[in-house]
Amino acid sequence: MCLLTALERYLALGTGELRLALEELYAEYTACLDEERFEDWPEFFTEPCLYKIVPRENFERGLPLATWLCESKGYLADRVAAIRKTAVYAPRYLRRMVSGIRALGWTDGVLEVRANYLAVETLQDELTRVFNAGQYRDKLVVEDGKLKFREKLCIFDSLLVPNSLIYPL
Amino acid sequence: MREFPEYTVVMTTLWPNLIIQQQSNTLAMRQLVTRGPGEFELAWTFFGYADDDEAMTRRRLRQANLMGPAGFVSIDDSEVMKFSQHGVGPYPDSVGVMEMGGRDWKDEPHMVTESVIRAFYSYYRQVMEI
Repeated sequence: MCLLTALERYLALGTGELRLALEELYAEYTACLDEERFEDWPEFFTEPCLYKIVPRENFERGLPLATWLCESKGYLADRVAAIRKTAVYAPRYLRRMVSGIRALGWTDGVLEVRANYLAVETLQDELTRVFNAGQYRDKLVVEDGKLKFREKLCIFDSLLVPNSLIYPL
Repeated sequence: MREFPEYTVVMTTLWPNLIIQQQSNTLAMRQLVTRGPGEFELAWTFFGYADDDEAMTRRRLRQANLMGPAGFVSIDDSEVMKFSQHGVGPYPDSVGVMEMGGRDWKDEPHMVTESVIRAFYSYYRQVMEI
């Protein structure tokens, strides 16, 4: 009953209010990652979920290979464990910008959203550079009274990743 | 799923810039494309077999998380490569030497050695007559 009410509340939002809600969600999402609170990152997703970082070439050609694939919160947690405990990498800051957030509409309680994203990377003693840019293609649902990602595709324009992709986008 | 009876990891370098690899159920080719003295591109091509069933294809796609620029296994490689470049790059008139596992090349029962790389360059020098 409580879940239905929350969904109904979101369904009843006007365009402007929904835009604000999405702006807020994406701001929280990028802040979580920019501030390296990676342990909180899986909580933006449902269980199960789909999170993929995929080059645009593969996406447009319908090739299934992703640079990064997670199919559940457990997968997301594995990535966090790698970032914190197992991977060896140079210290860096990654900062993400999201713009042009567009809600394409609700279908059976699922909100489809698209947005542009840009991530810039700063390594020690190096100038900040564009690291990755592309489009989010997201599917959101209402869970525990909040919008959560059931699906998040990060489709990046370049075929090249500068060195390595360690932190999520 | 054990797909090949004997080995779970096999990497073969085809001179000079192609590496064919099997790690568990991922099958891939890596091509090194040099872009100058301080830069190269690494092109990854993953593949399966035409008669793989859906479960095997899904397994290969999932295990692809091990490899590539975001690979659980390969992130360290790219990063360490960059550390090494940073280390030797400022000394173009000197020679940088990596001695992991000694100076010779022979079969070893472990992977904590760059014996294979030394063997490769030994042959490379022979072919290039240097």
